[in-house]
Amino acid sequence: MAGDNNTDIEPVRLTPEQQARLRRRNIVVALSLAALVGLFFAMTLVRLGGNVASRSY
Amino acid sequence: MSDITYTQPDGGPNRASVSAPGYMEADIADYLALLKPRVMSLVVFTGLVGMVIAPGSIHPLTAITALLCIAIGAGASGALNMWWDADIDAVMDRTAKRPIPRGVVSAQSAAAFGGTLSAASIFVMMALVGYVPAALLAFTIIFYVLIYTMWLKRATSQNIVIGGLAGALPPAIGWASVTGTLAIEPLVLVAIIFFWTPPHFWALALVRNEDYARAGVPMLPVVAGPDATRTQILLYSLLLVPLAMSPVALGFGGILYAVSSVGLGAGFLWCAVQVYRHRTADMADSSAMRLFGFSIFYLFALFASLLIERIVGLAPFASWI
Repeated sequence: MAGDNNTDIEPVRLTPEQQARLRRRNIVVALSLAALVGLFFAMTLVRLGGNVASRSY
Repeated sequence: MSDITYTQPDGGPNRASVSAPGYMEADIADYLALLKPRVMSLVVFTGLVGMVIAPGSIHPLTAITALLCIAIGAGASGALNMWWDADIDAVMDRTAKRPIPRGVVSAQSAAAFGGTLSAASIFVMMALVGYVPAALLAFTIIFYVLIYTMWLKRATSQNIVIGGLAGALPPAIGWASVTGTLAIEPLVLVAIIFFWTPPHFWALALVRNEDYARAGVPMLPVVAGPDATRTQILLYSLLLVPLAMSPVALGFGGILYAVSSVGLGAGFLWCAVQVYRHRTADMADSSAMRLFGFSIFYLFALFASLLIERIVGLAPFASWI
């Protein structure tokens, strides 16, 4: 049965080198996303500029 | 993902393999190679020049963001091109070492990578820089991937002539990032790159003729023959050189640009004439490769002279006369 077969599937085993590459790629993706968040934050400050500091109530 | 191979422990008839190369082997450098970094550098440089010659001002962070989007968008186009053309790349000596034919990145991964970065670059450009540069960037990516890669490249010998528009647009994107609109100046720069592209690529195609023929790509030397290609190279060069001098007449090229465009233009024409004259054996290949190499220097130097003029504050030539 299909269900029985699934229990026999052997998980993918990575070599240490493959694990290292996967880790490096994951770190780059994480850093890229963090940089994107930082960019949006910085650009928000740029666009707001002095308008917030000098706003009148 | 289809990258992972599932294997029954007994290796019997239930063995189910959905293997595709890549997933575990690819390193960061392989993904960077998908972005065609050398092409990207020329694209970013011409985009920067379009930005610098534009009137008005732009916040440095906005400028960096725009250039980043141009770079990522261009790189993403390259990745999508490698995904679609993996079959061609595999049989050509020049491209057989690319990540997909080498088997370290799967075609699906390249497509996902390119698609994600394309969408991200357009979105960030739209959100942080402006709608017009974002629309131009989207047009550039779509034109390169859909019109050039998926259609023209395998359909006509005019593939790189028409498709060259995609590579020519970055100065317009750079200009629009500052002004939010277009004008004659960036369009002249676009035209210069547009007319530069055919002699640049055909010079390489002359040397790689057998490669393209084996891959079934209808480049001009394959379809019309090397002699007709040499004539076309010379004709496009004769159009390009005076066109490259037009920024002086239009008033946004200064004395440095005037001298550069004349000197570099003379060099370009000399190389093109050499290609036209040398039609046999090693001389033909060396002349074509000399033109290919010089054409890269030509475009960099031409745009660099515009950039230098703006940085050091040289007035446009028109105000001198």
